[in-house]
Amino acid sequence: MTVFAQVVLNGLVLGSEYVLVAIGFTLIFGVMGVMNVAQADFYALGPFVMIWISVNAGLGLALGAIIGMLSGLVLGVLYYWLVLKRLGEKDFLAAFIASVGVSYFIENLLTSIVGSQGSPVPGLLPDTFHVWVGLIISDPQLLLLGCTVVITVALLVCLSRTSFGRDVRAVAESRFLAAASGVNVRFVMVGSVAVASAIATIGGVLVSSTTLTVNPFSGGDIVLQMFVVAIVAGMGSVGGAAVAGFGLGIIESLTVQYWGSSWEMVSGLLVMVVVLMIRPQGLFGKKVRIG
Amino acid sequence: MEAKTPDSDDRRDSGPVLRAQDVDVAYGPIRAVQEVSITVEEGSVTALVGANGAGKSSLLKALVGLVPMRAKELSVRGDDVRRLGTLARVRDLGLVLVPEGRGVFSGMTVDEGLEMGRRVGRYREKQGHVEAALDLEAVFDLFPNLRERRRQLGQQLSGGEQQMLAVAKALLMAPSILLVDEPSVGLAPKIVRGIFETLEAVMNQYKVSILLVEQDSKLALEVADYAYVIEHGRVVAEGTAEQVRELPQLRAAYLGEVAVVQSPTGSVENGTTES
Repeated sequence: MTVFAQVVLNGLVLGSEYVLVAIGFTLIFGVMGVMNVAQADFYALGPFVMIWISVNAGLGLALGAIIGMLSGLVLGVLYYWLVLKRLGEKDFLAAFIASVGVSYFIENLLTSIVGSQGSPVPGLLPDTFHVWVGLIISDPQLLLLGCTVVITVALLVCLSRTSFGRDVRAVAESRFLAAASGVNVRFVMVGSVAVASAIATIGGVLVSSTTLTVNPFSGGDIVLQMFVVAIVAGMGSVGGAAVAGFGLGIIESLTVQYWGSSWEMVSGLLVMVVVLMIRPQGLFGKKVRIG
Repeated sequence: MEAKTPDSDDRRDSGPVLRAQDVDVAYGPIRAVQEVSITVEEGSVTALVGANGAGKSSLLKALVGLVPMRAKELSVRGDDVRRLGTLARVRDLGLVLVPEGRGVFSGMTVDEGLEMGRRVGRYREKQGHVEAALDLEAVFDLFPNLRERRRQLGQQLSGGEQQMLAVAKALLMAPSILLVDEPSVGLAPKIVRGIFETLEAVMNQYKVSILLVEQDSKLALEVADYAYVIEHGRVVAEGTAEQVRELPQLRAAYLGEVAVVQSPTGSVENGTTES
């Protein structure tokens, strides 16, 4: 029983990673109707920015971590103005393909700068372990799990309670009607992409603090899971993506424990196929694209 | 608090609230609106009537900047709006559209929808565009049903209530001119009459100028002061509501939505029915 509970706990930690890329991915889809593959690469960029600031520039871990986490805001705005603004507002397919291109660009740019080997990441917290009723979890893992829950809840509250969140829901439901209602549609789009990208860079920094390594393909490695989570949840459902993200983490963790690590990816895809057969709109999918 | 709209002294000298000259709207090769010129006088109801697909809705969307257009002139109370985006046209100039098919967000409560309108109204007050925008109480007096449904989602409202919500939201935005697109579509005649009565009440009480697009020309001409008849994207006739009501094309249309073809000799005959 303890083993099972430990495996589930490990799954929650693993799932945090998926949640933090998938909620931003699904947010951008909800607002812009764009499947933004590059979302996962922002997740890898965060830790690199942190390394450059705190190790290469020697400005200290705290400053590096903060800038690394918030770099997504700037990168997101840049990404919106350079790519999504031109393509995403009119042509869904063009924006999707462009995001694949940006994804390759980021991965190869990073490779040319740091090489394809993993770079060591300074941990945000010392890697001390706690034992709690037989379950083991480390400080960085606890930080990751806690931040994931806080960020998800904060995003959901923002969407349902604030005027910016109301505007986001308005644009997600109908860009046309939102514009006619005096919503600043462009601001909502830039804002959503910036927030989504920042959640990804925060996720990257927090996860790299548990693994203590990052490489240019850390993002590309979880693109598949990002899609699985968002699709199983129902595209555009932020709360659903959180549930599905943790769920996928647990399923993968159980699969590795009881079935074999080579089946890790298979179990997630299997779940996706089954869910789509029963509920094509996803578990939490609605007619409205966000919520 | 009693809501007020600017009385006539605050307005610029009695020019039209909206003037559009030679408006063209095209979707790729399809020309939806061609060389349409319309004028809406301050405090009046102007109707655009004509068959489905005549380009009336395209014209309204173009006026708010939601579809691209070309025009020789497009001004609101003398200010050129052609270079402005939708946001500026809505917030700064008060060109407020009530879209076709109920401009209501299905996943938002009545309160949330009204608050969106209120926000634009507050902005217009702050910028000095209007003296005082309508407040919620005034709107609930016009649409008592909405008061009881404040916490309901848009999708839980009846069609009539959705249309009321759309109009209420638009009124809260303190419009210089209300562009109302096909308010009667899909609603029972009794409900439509209620909505038109409210529109007339709004007109009389708050002196809002209205540009009304309506397929049901009989209904539209009952409330309108002036009307344009649009066919195939062009204005084919215009005049006061009484004059337009007497036009042979319109009289034919009353009898069953029969399109009218102008034969080369100038006589009028009934043509094919448009769907």
